[in-house]
Amino acid sequence: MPFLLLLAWQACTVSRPEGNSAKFTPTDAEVEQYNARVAPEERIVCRLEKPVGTYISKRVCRLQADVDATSTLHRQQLRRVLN
Amino acid sequence: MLRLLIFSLLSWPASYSLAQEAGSPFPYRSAYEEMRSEQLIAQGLLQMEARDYSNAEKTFLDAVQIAKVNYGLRAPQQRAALVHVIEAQLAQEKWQLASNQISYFEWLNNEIYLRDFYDYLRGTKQLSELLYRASADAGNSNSTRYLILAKNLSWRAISSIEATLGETDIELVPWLYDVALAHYYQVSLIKRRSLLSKDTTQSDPTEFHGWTMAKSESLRISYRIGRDVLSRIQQIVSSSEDSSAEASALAMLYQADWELLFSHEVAAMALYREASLQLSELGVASERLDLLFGRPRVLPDSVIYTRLDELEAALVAGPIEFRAWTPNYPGAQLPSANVAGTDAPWPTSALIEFTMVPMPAIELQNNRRFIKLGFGLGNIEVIQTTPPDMILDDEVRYQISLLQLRPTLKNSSPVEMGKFQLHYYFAPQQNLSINEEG
Repeated sequence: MPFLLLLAWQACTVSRPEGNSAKFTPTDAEVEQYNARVAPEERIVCRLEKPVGTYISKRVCRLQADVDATSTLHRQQLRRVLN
Repeated sequence: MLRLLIFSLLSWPASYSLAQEAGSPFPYRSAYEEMRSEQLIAQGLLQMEARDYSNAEKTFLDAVQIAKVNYGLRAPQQRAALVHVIEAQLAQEKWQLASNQISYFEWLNNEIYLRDFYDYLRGTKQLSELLYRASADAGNSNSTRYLILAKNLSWRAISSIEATLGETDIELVPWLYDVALAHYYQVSLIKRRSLLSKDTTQSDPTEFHGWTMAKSESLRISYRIGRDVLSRIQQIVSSSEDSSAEASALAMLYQADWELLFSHEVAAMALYREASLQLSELGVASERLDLLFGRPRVLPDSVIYTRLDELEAALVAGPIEFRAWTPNYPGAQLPSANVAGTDAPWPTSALIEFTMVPMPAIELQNNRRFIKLGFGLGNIEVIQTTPPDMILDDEVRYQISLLQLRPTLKNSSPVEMGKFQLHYYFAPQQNLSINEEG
């Protein structure tokens, strides 16, 4: 029985990708170089964000257009709730 | 005899055109050829000297048209006149027209890219200098935009070099260094509260706002990007076949400078020591090293030197020359002579004498506030100002307080050294309100 439980637990866990975690997102220099050669709507922004439930910041990179669209959506939803 | 002469003269144009149609060896004579583009450029430059910018602009525009007709719509020969068109427009503060011409210049340069890569790089350098010049104008409220455009242009040049010559080609070095310099200018902006990039898409004229960053975040990003590109330069020169261990040690010197500019004195000192050690291991005599580290230099250096003899030649024995670029970027020196504007060349200057002082942290502890190890100028004495005026005396004391100099080192340790002289040329656009009576 303990062996089966251990097997089930191992099947559920997701192993972290190997390597340096800083490599998961591009560096500031790489972001700037990329942004310099694409149209404004295709640019990406990277920033430190604190996910819900933790105080530990995480560097997240998103498309600028997505950030703007999400902000607009959130503002609209807030306005709807307040009205 | 006279009749024969008249007849032959009258019949010449017809015979000439027939000869052309028949494919004769006569050169093709363009209607524009009589007024060569080069002659018009020379004429326009005279008009620029006379500060007749409006007519100079027209002359240069004619020269561009002639270059188009004579050499082709995508011909690189247009660039020589186009540079001056933009200069004339910037001198007249015609920002929108200058922006249009800058866009045209970049389009033309991109057309050249596939035909002659090195010519494309030369054009990119010209364009970069024009953008810097536009960004330096204190009267232009959009000056920051030009700085960002110049930086993006350098990045695009880097991408094109990577695609054409490879990611470790030595050609990348000056362009990567340009990016670091652009970040230094960016952090020296005093007017900026936050960095906001405004842009428009080609299809939609509405402004597209970039990410707004707090000043501290923007500073951190600039520091990291500068550190990364300088580290990359170090890797490139270390692995390059054309380069040497000497270049690698010198690249470390610039990394140390960068750390010092962002007040990371401990990291800077470690890098200076390492650079000195590497040069010593290469067999550079201690006298040469003392000379190299014994002459302060205003940071950041406008040019990156990858050979020791070139760097030594730049460390002249006389007073250090510092040409302030623009009030927009306090503490920054003119990047190159080509970036200088059309204004009168630095009429106001001051000669100062100073001692380089390493200030240990213990001496700087004040009101229980810990101040990091710093390097500064001590015993500052204003020897003369041109023109003589007390306002300049006070102003130069303030302005040199903004400068960061490479510390003087002996045996890899900071030492007090003096007396040095610095000839400080105020930025041409600096409003100094000098009392004419002295």
